[in-house]
Amino acid sequence: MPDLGTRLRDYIDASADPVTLDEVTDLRLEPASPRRPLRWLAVAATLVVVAGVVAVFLAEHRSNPTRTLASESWLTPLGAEPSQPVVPAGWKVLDIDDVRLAVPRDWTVPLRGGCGATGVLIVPLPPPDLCSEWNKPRAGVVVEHGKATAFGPLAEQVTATITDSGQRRALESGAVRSTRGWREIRYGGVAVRIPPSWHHAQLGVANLERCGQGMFRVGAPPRFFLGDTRPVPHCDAVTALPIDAIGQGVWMRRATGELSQMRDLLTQGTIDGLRVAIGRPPDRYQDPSLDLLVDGGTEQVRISIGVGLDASTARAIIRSIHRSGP
Amino acid sequence: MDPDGFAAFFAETEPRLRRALVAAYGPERGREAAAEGLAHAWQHWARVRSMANPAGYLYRVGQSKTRERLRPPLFPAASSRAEPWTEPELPAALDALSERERVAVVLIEGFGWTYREVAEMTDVSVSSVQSYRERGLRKLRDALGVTEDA
Repeated sequence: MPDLGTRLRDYIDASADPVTLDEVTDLRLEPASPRRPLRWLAVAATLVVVAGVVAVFLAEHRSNPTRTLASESWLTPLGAEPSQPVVPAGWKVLDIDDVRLAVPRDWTVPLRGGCGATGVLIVPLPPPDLCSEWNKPRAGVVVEHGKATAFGPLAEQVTATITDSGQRRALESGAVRSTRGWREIRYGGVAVRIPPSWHHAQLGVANLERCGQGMFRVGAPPRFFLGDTRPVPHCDAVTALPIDAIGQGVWMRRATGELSQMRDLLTQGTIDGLRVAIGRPPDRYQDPSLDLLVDGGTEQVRISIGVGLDASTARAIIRSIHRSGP
Repeated sequence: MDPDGFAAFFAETEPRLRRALVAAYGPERGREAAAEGLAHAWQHWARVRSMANPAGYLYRVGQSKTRERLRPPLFPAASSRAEPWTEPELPAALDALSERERVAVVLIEGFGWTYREVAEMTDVSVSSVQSYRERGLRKLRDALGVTEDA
């Protein structure tokens, strides 16, 4: 067995990932502005306001002064975050259940086997073996039971991009972005923090621009939605689902049903005293988001999180869940 | 990205700051504290760069930023972190030391820091560091059943 010093060094270095330069500078692009003459006056005024808020808070919560803090061990069951592979130009990055992979932008999920097609993503949705032997898809990838198997002329390039999906990585240990400077959004007695650059989008106006489109997609700034109703446009019957590259965003709305009955449950636990179940949404191929059911006591809130390419943001959002005021 | 040497400062300071704060507060809080300290350095780089002991200053910034949480232990059991190579007794043994004992033992025994380097980082006297290290090492060896470093 190595000596005690080596054991200590190995344990400390392996237990916490290095802090990255991007992580430190990303949300703080501008160094602090020079001191201003009225700075101390502003600080004093802020202290007075804070003291007032604290006094009100204590007066309101004196009967229940304890606060259960987060127990996050259930969110970090696995090992270190893997490095992300290089994605060929013009390809889209997709999350399908536990698998992340990149494919050419025009590849779709065929609903009837994709017979004769040159670019398909075969997920458990389409019934298998619908095509004649001579007319099977010529290029594609089969994703099933957490495994992806590419075939056809691009098989090697597709295989090189396969790694863990964003949803999976968001629930593993790894970098967590600092939420300092983030904005708080609230719905149904539950609040989360999101990056300040994310903007509010109205459901029904900015949500769906074409049939089969996911809530969170790349090519537009990340958005958040607050509300219960997702508009469903009239769509003609299709033979293939267009799957968008994964994007970032948050959607909070009311939920019904028990946490224990959540479909595709991945994990559950308590954050800031709130029971939280995390799973995948029913339409998980088109909306490869994390689906959270938060039990706020009197009502339940459903939170969809588009993980995007960088799981550290989703990790921070999940850990920021807390009870909001009435 | 290297405005006036920040990247070079970061590369040199990050491992030291992270190890010291992880030793003090455990992997999760310690790393978060290190990130907060380094973010503070970025925001106040003009001032931090002129300090005689910027790493020690950022250590205290990290200490002040990390929130007290009611979720002991600081060092989770190896099984919950899926690190099969970690001896199961080590996290609990570290957890049983005081914060200053842990920092002194980990940095001196694990990373070869001198007493003075630990003293400068943590803002305590060299003689105190020496006594924290000796006391902590004795406790750690007792907990792990180690009589000498071999």
